[in-house]
Parts: sequence; C-alpha cells; structure tokens
Amino acid sequence: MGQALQQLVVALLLLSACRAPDHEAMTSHADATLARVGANDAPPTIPPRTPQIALFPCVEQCHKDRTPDPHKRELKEFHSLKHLEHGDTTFWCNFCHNDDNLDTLRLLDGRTVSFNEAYRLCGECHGDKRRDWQAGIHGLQSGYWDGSHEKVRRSCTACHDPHAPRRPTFQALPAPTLRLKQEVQGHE
Amino acid sequence: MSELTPSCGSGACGCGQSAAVATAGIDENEELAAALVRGGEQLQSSRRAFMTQLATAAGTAAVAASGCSTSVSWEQFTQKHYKELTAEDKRKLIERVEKRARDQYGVEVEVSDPQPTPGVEFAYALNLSYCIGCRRCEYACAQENNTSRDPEMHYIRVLQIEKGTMSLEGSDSYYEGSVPAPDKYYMPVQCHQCDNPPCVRACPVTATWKEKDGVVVIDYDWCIGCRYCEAACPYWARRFNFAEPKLRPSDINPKQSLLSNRIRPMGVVEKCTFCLHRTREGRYPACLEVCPTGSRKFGNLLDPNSEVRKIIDTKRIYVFKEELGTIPRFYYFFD
Ligand code: HEC
Ligand code: HEC
Ligand code: HEC
Repeated sequence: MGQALQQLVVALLLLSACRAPDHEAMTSHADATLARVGANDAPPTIPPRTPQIALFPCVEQCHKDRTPDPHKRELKEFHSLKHLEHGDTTFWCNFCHNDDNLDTLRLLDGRTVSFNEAYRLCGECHGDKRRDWQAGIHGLQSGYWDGSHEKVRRSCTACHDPHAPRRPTFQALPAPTLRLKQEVQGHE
Repeated sequence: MSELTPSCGSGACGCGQSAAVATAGIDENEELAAALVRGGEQLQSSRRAFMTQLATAAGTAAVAASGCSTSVSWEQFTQKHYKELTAEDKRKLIERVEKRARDQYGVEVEVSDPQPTPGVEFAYALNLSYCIGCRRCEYACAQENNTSRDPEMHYIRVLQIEKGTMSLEGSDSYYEGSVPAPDKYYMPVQCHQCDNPPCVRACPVTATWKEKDGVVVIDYDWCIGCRYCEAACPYWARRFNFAEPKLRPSDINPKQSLLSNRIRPMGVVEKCTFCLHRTREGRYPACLEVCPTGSRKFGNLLDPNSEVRKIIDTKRIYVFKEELGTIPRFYYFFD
C-alpha cells in the first residue's frame, strides 16, 4: 500500500519532469510522421533584457562600494523600489539577485544566470507558466510562425515587473465610432 | 483607358441600376439570386443579370446608390471573377490597383497575390483570461488593413462583459478609460473564418468564398454590395463601405494583396482575412503582434507543434455560438 503510493509519486514526478522540456529537448515523438509544414522547430530568439535595464550594470553603477544587506527592510535610500509586491512576505531581493555579483541572478540551487535568462529563475517557482511559455502558449511570440525566418519570444520580464508582477492597467484606445447594425438591433 | 462617368440614379451609368425602384421582399431576392448563381461557370453574366434584376425588380434606393461608384472604369466593369483570372489578367488587375493608389492617394503600393500553402490550415486562439481590452489589436488591424478612417471602420470589436457570465446581454464595446475594469473581462470578436460559413452561402454572386487554408475571402471587384453576407454573419464580422473610404496617404500600408488589404472602393463588403498577405508569407497577423498580454495565438492547425494546436489540445476551449454549427477557426480559451 505504502509502497504503491511511493511508486505512484515517483511515477508522477517522472511524468512532471518529462513535461518540463528545455528548448533543446522540445521534441515531438508521436507526431513526427505527420505533415510538418510550417513546423516551428527552430528555437525562437529571446531578446536580451540587459539593454532594457536602465541601472545595468548594477555593480559598476551603484554597488561597487556597498556590501549587500540581506535583511528585509524598508528601502529608504534607493530608487522607486520601496518594497516588493511579489510572492509572500518572506520574499526579499536575494531570492533572485545574486549578492555575490549583483550583475547576475541566482537560481534556488545557487547557480547564477544572467538577467537575459531570468525566465529560468521565474520558471523555478512558476513551472506551469514556464512550460506554456516554452510552448508559445504563455507570453508573446512574434515574427514568423512558420519558422522560415526569425521568431521572437519575449522574456517574462518584458511583461512582468519582477518586483510587482501583477498585471498593470492600461489606457484603452478610444471606442469605435461606428455603430454596427447588429448592435443597434441588439444581439441575437 | 475609357472612363464611364455615370450619373447615378438615372440608370444611365451602365451599372444596370436605376433609382426608380419597387420594393420587394428579401426572400424573393434570394430566390432570384439562387437561380442566377446556378451554373457557376457563367459567373460573369449571372452577376450582371443579378444586378439588373436587383435594380428593376427588387432593389432599394440604398442598394442602388451603393452599387454605383461615381467613376467606373471599363476594365473594372468587364472585370472577371477572381477565380477566372489568368496570370495575365491578374497582372493587369494588380497594375490597375497600384495605379489607383497612385492616382487617388499619391502612394506607391506593392500588391501581391499570395496563395494558400498545401498542408497549412490556419486557426486562431484567443486567451479570454488575459485579454485586458486595451484595443491595441483593433487599431493595429485598421492600420495593417487599410480600412477607412472616415467613416471609421474596424474589423475587430472588443466586448466588455460582466465577469462570471457568458452572456452578451449588456456587453459593451464602447467602454473607455483604464482597463481592465474590475469585474469585467474582454472578448475581441472578428471574422471566425468558419468552415461552414453562412456569409458565403448568403452571397448571391459568389463574390466570397473559402480558401484551402481556411480563410474566407472577398473579391472586391465582384462584390455588388448587397450586404446579405453582413446580415448572415452571426459574429457581426463583415463591414460595408457605405462611403468612399478615406485614408491619409501616410495611413496607407503599401504592402497589399488582392484578396485582403488593398484599398477598397465604396460599395463593397470587407472583413478580417487573418492578414493573409502576412500569414501566407509565414508572418503572424498584425493583431497578434501588437497584443501586450500575449492573448492572441495563431498558427497551422495541421502542425501538432503549433501554438494553436497545443492550445486546442491542452486548454479549455470555448467556441462562440457553437450551437449555430458555423465551425469557426477562431477559438477562445481560458487559462
Ligand atoms: C522575483 C525575483 C526578484 C526579486 C525578489 C527582486 N528582483 Fe530585482 N530584478 C529581478 C529581475 C529578473 C530583474 C531584471 C528585470 C528586467 O529584465 O527588466 C530585476 C531588476 C532589478 C533592478 C534593475 C531594474 C530596475 O527596475 O531598474 C533593480 C534596481 C532591482 N532589481 C532591485 C531589486 C531590489 C532592491 C529587490 C529587493 C527589494 C529586488 N530587486 C528583488 C528579479 C527580482
Ligand atoms: C521563489 C519563488 C518565485 C520566483 C523565483 C518568482 N516568483 Fe512569481 N510568484 C511567486 C509566488 C509565491 C507568487 C504568489 C502566488 C499567488 O499569490 O498565488 C508569485 C506571483 C507571481 C505572479 C502573479 C502576480 C499576481 O498577483 O497576479 C506573476 C505574474 C509572477 N509571480 C511572475 C514572476 C516572474 C516574471 C518571475 C521571474 C522574474 C517570478 N515570478 C519569480 C514566487 C516566485
Ligand atoms: C507577453 C507578455 C507576457 C510574457 C512574456 C509572460 N507573461 Fe506571464 N502573464 C501575462 C499576462 C497578461 C498574464 C495575466 C495577468 C493577470 O491575469 O493578472 C500573465 C500571468 C502570469 C502569471 C499569473 C498567472 C495566474 O494565473 O495568476 C504568472 C505566474 C506568470 N504570468 C508568469 C510568467 C512567466 C514565468 C513568464 C516567463 C516564462 C511569463 N509569465 C511571461 C503576460 C506575459
């Protein structure tokens, strides 16, 4: 009984591991025989984030002479960033930023990644979204759907502010001026 | 080139329409039309006949007015149906369309005629959980497709709907201000490129049809502006040019195609074509590219690796007005 459960858990873990493909591993076994016109096999380009980050490189611009303080506190000195609106109350800068080299991010197991690969960090806690993103279902892919030319996939932080990832509001563009006949008559 | 400059309303313009019209039921028109379109090989004469009949037997003042352009060239008048065009005819037509843009707007445009690719059937999927109703798609579409700015014509309508309902009663597409509004969600509606399209069936002159890649297209030179298709569409996706479309030269997208975004004349119907001038060349539609939320997904339904297929295979899908049996190629999904 207990053993069966354990096996089930192992099986599920294995299954979920299979469902988390990295680009390299994006394969389609069963469907390989089907017509593949316009198959988007080539990995999309992910535009680098660092050119978009005004304060990058962080060490050179600000952190050369500062020792990082890992304690959660109100940030008085710095930027617009006063507190985090992400995750739970335990969240702090060093969950993501690498205190040993602030030009990089740190994954949960201690490995470092560039800001350009922040999606790997996000994916550690948001595996489902990362998978959908990898599949092109979450986030935005633009360019060429058929793989004939470059396809571009936005990194997570192009849409989500990592410090307050909640969906921002937008101004709607103006309402259309033309009334449709059907609307005047009411919807069927 | 000889120009016929008809004085509309007198019936002297040669378009076969007269302003003096009797009113008859739409049903009669449809029977008439059905009879006329029998024998598709005689498209041309049937269309003429239909127009004549329409005017003498059953037309309305509105139809008569809209069917006549103020200036109809001889080539335009003797134009064959798109499907009957030889390569040479097509070349001439393209030349004429490009010339018209030059004469009318002073803009150099490049008109192509991309064809469906075998093994490709388009589908669209839209994430209702993420759409915020910002209308970026609506405007990007107008820009891409050279739709009239005055009177303003948009192919996409974004409905603002009460959360927790699926009912369009009380939906609003004229909302303004900051979005998303609390307790609302948003549902953009455009042509669903149905596999069983009521609009195509409604057309008395086969000026609209379904292509092999699933896109429903319109021959703007063949359309007589009767608007039956518009009335038949349950997604209110078709638009009628009741006035000469107005565009500033700077508004014009010069990359055009015969069956999609070339500048339309007054008196014809138009609609979303999944941007076939882009998508048949492998690009994404304009509305998709501009979406800040990534709610819009497009691709080849026959490719199991395409975004749309993965969505259809793994997400909760909603087909708008499924009960009508239109079999849309436009899917909504939740995430
Ligand atoms: C969830 C992970 C995460 C946490 C927690 C986090 N950051 Fe960041 N931070 C990032 C990522 C990722 C970027 C790069 C954003 C981009 O690509 O635009 C970034 C960028 C920055 C930047 C430069 C960009 C800008 O906004 O000007 C600063 C400064 C910054 N973080 C400071 C902080 C501080 C201070 C904290 C703690 C209060 C913090 N971060 C907490 C992930 C995080
Ligand atoms: C250490 C784990 C962790 C990491 C790393 C992380 N997140 Fe989160 N994130 C969370 C938690 C916890 C929540 C809160 C979930 C909830 O409320 O359901 C959250 C919430 C979110 C939300 C939903 C916000 C809302 O209020 O709707 C978004 C979007 C998000 N994260 C994006 C990101 C992005 C982008 C990154 C990478 C820069 C990232 N996260 C990295 C743990 C993480
Ligand atoms: C094109 C923009 C875009 C990109 C790129 C993007 N997202 Fe999102 N994401 C959204 C939108 C829009 C939502 C819906 C937000 C909402 O409902 O508040 C969302 C929602 C989320 C949520 C909250 C989901 C929920 O149901 O509450 C998480 C977590 C998230 N995204 C993580 C990620 C991660 C991780 C990445 C990168 C791998 C990523 N996103 C890339 C636009 C994007």
